[in-house]
Amino acid sequence: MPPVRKVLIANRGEIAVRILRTCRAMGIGSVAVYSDADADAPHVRLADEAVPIGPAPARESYLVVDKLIAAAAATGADAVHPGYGFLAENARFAAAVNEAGLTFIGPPPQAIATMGDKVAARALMEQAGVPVVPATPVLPAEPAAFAEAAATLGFPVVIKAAAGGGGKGMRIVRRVEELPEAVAGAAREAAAAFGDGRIYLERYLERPRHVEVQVFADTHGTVVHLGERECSIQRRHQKIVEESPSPAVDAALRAAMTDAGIRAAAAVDYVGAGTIEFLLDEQGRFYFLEMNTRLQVEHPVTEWITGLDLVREQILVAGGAPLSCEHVTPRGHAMECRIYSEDPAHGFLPATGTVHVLAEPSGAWVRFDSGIAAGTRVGVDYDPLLAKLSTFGATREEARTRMLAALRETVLLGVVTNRDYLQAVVAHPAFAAGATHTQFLDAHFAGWTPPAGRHADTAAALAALALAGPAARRDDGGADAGSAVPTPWEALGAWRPGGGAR
Amino acid sequence: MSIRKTVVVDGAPRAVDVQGRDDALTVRVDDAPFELALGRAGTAWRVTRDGRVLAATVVRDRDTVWIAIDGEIHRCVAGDDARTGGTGGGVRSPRVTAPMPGKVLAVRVTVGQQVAAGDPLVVLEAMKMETIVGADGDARVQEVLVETGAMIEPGQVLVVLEFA
Repeated sequence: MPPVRKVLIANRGEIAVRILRTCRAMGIGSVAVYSDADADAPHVRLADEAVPIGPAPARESYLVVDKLIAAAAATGADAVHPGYGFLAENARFAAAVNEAGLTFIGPPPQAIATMGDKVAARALMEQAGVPVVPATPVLPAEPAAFAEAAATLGFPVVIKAAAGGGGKGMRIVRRVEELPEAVAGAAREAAAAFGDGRIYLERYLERPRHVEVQVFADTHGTVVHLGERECSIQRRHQKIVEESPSPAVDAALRAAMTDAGIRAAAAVDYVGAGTIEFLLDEQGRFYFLEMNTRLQVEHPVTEWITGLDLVREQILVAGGAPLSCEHVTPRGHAMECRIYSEDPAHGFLPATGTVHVLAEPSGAWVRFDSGIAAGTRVGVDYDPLLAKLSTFGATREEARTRMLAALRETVLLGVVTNRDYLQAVVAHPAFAAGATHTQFLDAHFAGWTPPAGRHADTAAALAALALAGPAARRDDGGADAGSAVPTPWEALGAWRPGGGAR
Repeated sequence: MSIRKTVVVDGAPRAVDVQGRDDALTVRVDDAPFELALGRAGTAWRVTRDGRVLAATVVRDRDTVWIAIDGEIHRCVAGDDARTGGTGGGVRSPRVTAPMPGKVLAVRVTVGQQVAAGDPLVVLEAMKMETIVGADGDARVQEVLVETGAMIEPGQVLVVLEFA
């Protein structure tokens, strides 16, 4: 495999910007692609070259394999980085890139395909000695069969539909007396929902933590781990706060989990950066959830504690180089908050608008990854992740308080974001104590509303002045009639210092 | 010169009264008085209150004013148009509006139909998420202004109700 000389980034937003920066730092060429909605996006401006690939909807642009490969061919790129999301875990895309004579910066298509099939992945992990959540095969829908299985697995258990998904046909059972009704109910519900009444039993994990292991493998057979990340703070199964190391993992558990992670990666002949996700129960037992065969959103926390640039390692490994990170000793503590355009006070509804002002936080051990700038229009076509804020400290508490200070410095005006919600989460005593689990937000933040703030009445006065200002004049037919945003000074309108009314 | 205005600050309506000159303003918010002095600080506003000097960034986007001050972000909306869809507080409006931009997945009512509080009127989709816009009270459907498949903007009127 020849070293990579020019990378096409088949993505957008913050991850495209992040990959482009590494290309620039490595002195290799970069090609961005963009949809009609992204013509003015930061990733387009940062790239050496940029190729338009069609209309805003992703299925007509960022998800069209042929357009991406044609863009690589037209610009002479010799490698493709998929980022995360879009086509990053699409085995057919990886294969198509390879078939076009280009280097796919990621694992072999077969590894993507195997880990993408949840049933096959579970079976393979069991073979490789990676713990999976104890479960039975499909059982006859009779209480006796389930009672016997439950005795082996240990309560609580959960009945699941073989054809399952979306929680339908699921019943959590804590006592044997509850089984007859639960078995009948689950079978009935499964049949109604999926036309398939087959059910089975699995051990139910109470308030598990989400802990994942970062692995890295090269084409020379070396597989290493880069520690774990805890990502338990989730809403609707989407992570919003991540950190490394996990407050729940000690040296012995870390050795066991990272060892399992390496076995999982080796079992699929993995190459490149990958993540093995585990659920960790309250007794300290861990179970394979799935493997993400790509760079994770939360990779910056691993970069903080290892001092590595994971994208650089990806590009080097894709070019056939042996791993440079074989002997890394993680140090310190890192935390990441995901800033989304959504309204946590109203069911996390996605929010849109124009970013009028963006003040990025800065200072020692603060990193801000974003794909937006002042003027960026946040629409409905793509994922609402706007930016990732990460901080580092010698201890967890240092990283946490630094995060609170950096969130306070993060100012985005024009689009509703979850910033205040993140501040409340990171400031919460249970979070500060490291008592995190995947139901944390439901347990502590149901019905959350933003704090009133100390300056709400001052803000009310400033808003009244701004609303009484020049926009009304413009609406009366000025040259800018209809223009939405006066400069801050214009918004001050009649209230000029020393001037009185205009 | 004086300004009297209702401003909805972060969802809560506030009655604002501002009197005087920029360097000596007397403000009442919900009848609580305080003094403010304003000046220019680069692209920001210099706000002096109770001897403390703060910088405020103020941007106006049509009827919405965004304010960043001392680490806080406030979204302020001009009085009467503050309410959108089922997500705001305050008085119920016969004009049911979209809380977010997106696509109309389904229209669940027809003109003349009687609906009860909470009945779904329109199902919207944005960023692969479904949201049901429901009736704020018992009402008769007077107008339906969107159809399935239509792209909508936040604040766009979807349905007009006549409350019982």
